[in-house]
Amino acid sequence: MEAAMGLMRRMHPKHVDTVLSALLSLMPEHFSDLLSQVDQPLQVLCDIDSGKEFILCEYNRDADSYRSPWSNKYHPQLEEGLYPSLELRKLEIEANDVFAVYRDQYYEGGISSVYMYEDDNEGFVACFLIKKDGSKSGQGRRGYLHEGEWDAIHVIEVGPEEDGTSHYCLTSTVMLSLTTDNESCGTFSLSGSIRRQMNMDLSVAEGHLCNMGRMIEEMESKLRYSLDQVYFGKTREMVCTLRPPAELAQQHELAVGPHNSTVYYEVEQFEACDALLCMLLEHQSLHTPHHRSTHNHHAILCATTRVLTVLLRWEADVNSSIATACKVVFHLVHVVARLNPSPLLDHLSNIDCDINPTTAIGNLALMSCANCKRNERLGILTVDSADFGLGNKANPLVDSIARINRWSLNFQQAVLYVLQV
Amino acid sequence: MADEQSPDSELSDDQKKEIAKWFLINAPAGEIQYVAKDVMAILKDDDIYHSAALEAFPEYNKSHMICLELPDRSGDVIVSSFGEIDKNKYLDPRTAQVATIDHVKQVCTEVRPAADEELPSPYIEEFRFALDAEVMKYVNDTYPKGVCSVYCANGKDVEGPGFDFEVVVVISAARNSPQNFCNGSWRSVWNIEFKDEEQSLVVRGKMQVGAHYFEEGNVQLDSQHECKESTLFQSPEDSATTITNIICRHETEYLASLEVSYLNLPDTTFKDLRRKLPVTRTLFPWHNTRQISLARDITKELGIGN
Repeated sequence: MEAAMGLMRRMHPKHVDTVLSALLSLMPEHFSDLLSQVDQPLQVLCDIDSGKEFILCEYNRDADSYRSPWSNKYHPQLEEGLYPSLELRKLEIEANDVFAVYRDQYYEGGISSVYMYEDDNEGFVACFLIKKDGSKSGQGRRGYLHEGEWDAIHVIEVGPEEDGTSHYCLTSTVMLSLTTDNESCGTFSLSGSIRRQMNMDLSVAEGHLCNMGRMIEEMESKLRYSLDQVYFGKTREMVCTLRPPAELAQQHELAVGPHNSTVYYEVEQFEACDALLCMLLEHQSLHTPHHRSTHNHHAILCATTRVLTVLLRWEADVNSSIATACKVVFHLVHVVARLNPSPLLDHLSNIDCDINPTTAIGNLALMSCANCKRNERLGILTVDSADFGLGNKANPLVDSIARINRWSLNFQQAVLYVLQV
Repeated sequence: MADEQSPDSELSDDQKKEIAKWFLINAPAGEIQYVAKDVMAILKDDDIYHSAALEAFPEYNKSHMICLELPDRSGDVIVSSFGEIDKNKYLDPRTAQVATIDHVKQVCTEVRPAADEELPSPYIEEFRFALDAEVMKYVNDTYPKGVCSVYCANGKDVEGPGFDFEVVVVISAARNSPQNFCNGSWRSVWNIEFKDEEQSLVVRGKMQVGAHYFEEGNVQLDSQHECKESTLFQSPEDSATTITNIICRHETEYLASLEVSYLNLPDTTFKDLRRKLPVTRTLFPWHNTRQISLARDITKELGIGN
C-alpha cells in the first residue's frame, strides 16, 4: 500500500485514472483502501427530472447507481437504494442551493453537488463537490486556457452535538490541470493535486451549514494559494535553476570575483530570481562574513523578506549578530527594529527569532524602537511578548527612553493599542 | 479484504508486465529508480519486473536523454537515439568513443574508441566539431548542469561539397533534489539541415521542460515548443557561430515566454478556474444563507432568472 501511494505521488497527475486502475488490477486485495485514499477526477451525470447535472462520487453511489441531489433519485433507477433521513435531506437540499450560489461567486460557472448521510457515531458526513471546466470551449470567462479543469472534493465529518458544539473534520482535495497554448511560446501545462485536513470544534448556534461553509471557503482559499504560490512557484524555481535567466547569468559572471561578494550581489538582485541565490549558496559558506556582516544583515538592509526566507531556509542563524565599528554587537532584531519596514520584523518574530537579546551595552530591541520612534514595530514586538521589564545596565526601562525622546504619548498609544488587540 | 477479489480479475503475467512497463516509461524525469522500487514492491514477482525493466529502461533513458559519465572520466555520454549504435552502445562524438551502457543501473560500464565507420567523414567532422565547440561554450555559460552533444544524423559519409547532410544538437540538463521533493529536466534537440544546392541551412528546434514538485502533493509542469529558422550555408566556423546564436536566441525567448506564462497565472489564467475572492469581492455571507435560499425560491416561483 505504501508503494502504491508512492506511485500516486510520483506519476503524472494527468494519469491518475490510469494509475488507479492499474493499481486496482495489480492489487485487488487493497480495492477499498485504494478507492478511499485516492481521489479521482469527478464525473458528471444529468438528472432526468430536472435536467440539471450532478457530480458522481463514492458518497452518492449505491451499487452501480448514483443519487442525484436535485431529485433525490438514483440514476440508473435502483430499488431500495440508501437515502439520508428526512431531516438530513432537508439540510442537503438547503446546502445544495447555498453551495450553488457560493460556487457561482467563486467559479463563475461550474457544477456543484452536496451529499449527506448519517454515519455510525450519531453525527453525519457531508460531501461538497465542485467541478469547473475553465477552458475556452468550456466556462472560462476570459478565454486564456486551452484546457483547464478544477475538481474540488470536500468531505466533512460532523460529530454529534455536545454542549452546543460539534467537532468538524474536513478533508479537502483539489485536482487541477491547466494548459495554455500559443504559437509564440508553445504549450505550457501545469497539473497537480493536493489534499489537506482541517479540524475544528464550533458552536452550532448558527447552524451546521454555516460552519461547514466557512471551513470550506477558508480551505479552498488556502489550497488555491498554496497551489499558486508554493507548488507552481517551486516548478518555476526549478526552471530557473535548470537555465538561469540571461541577465542573472551575466550578473553572475560579473560578480564572480576573487572574493566573497557573489552572494551579496545576488541578495541585492534577488527580486529577479531566487534560484541563482540557492545555487550560489550551495557553493559558499553562509556565514562567511563580508565587511563584517552576514548575509542575513545584508538581506535586511536591502529590505527583502524573500531573501531572508531563503537564507533562513539554508539554515542561516536567525540569532546571528554582528559587531559594528564601535564594537556594539547588534542582533538581527535590533537592525530590523531600527531601520526596516515592519513586515520584516513580523516575519522574524514569526520564525522564532529571539526578540529579547541584548546588545553589548545592554540595549534591547524594544529600546531601539523607542529610540528611533517606531510605532508599528513596537506593536509587533509587544504582541510577540517582548519583555518591557528588562532594563539595561546603564539605562532605565523602555518607557523612560520614550519619555526622554519626547515620544511618550505615541508610546502609550502604541502600548494601549496592542493591549486592546 | 481478500474476499473482494473476484477470480476473473486475476491478471496474466504479460498484462502485469505491460502495466509495470507503463509505470516505468511514464516515470517523471529523474525518478525512474524510485518508481522501479515501488513497482517491484507491488508486483512481488522479480521475473516479471526484470523483463519489464529490460524493455522500459532503454526507452526511458533515450527519451529523457540521460547523461552518464564515462568510466575513465574522459567525458559524458548522452543516451539518445542519435548516438545509438545498438541497444546498449552509444557514441560520444566529442571523444570519438563508444560507451557500453547498463540501462537498468543507468551507468556506463565500458568504453572503446569508435571505429572509423562509426564516425563521420573528415569533411562532415569539420562542421560537427566547430559546432560542438560553439554549442559547448554556450551550454557551459547558460546551463549550470547542462551537457550537449552534436551528432551527424544524415550523410555522415559525404566527402565534400555537393551533397546534403544533417547534424543534430542535443542539449540536456537535469536537476534532481529528492530531499527537496523536486526534480526537473530541460531537453532541446536542434536539427540542422545543410542544403548544398540552395546553399542554406534549415534549423528546426524542439525544446521541452518538465518540473515536478511533490512535497505533500503532486504538481507537474510540462512545457514544450517547436520553432524553425533558415540561414546561409557558410564555412564550418561561421556556420557554427550562426547556428549557436539561433539556438541561444530561441531558447532565451522560450524561457522568457515561460516566465510570462508564470506571471500571468495568478491574475488571469488561474482566475478562469477559481477566483481568489468572489465576484462580490467579500467573503461569502454564510451567516445569511437563509436569505439566499429564500431569494432563490422567490426567483424560481416568479420565473425570473433561470
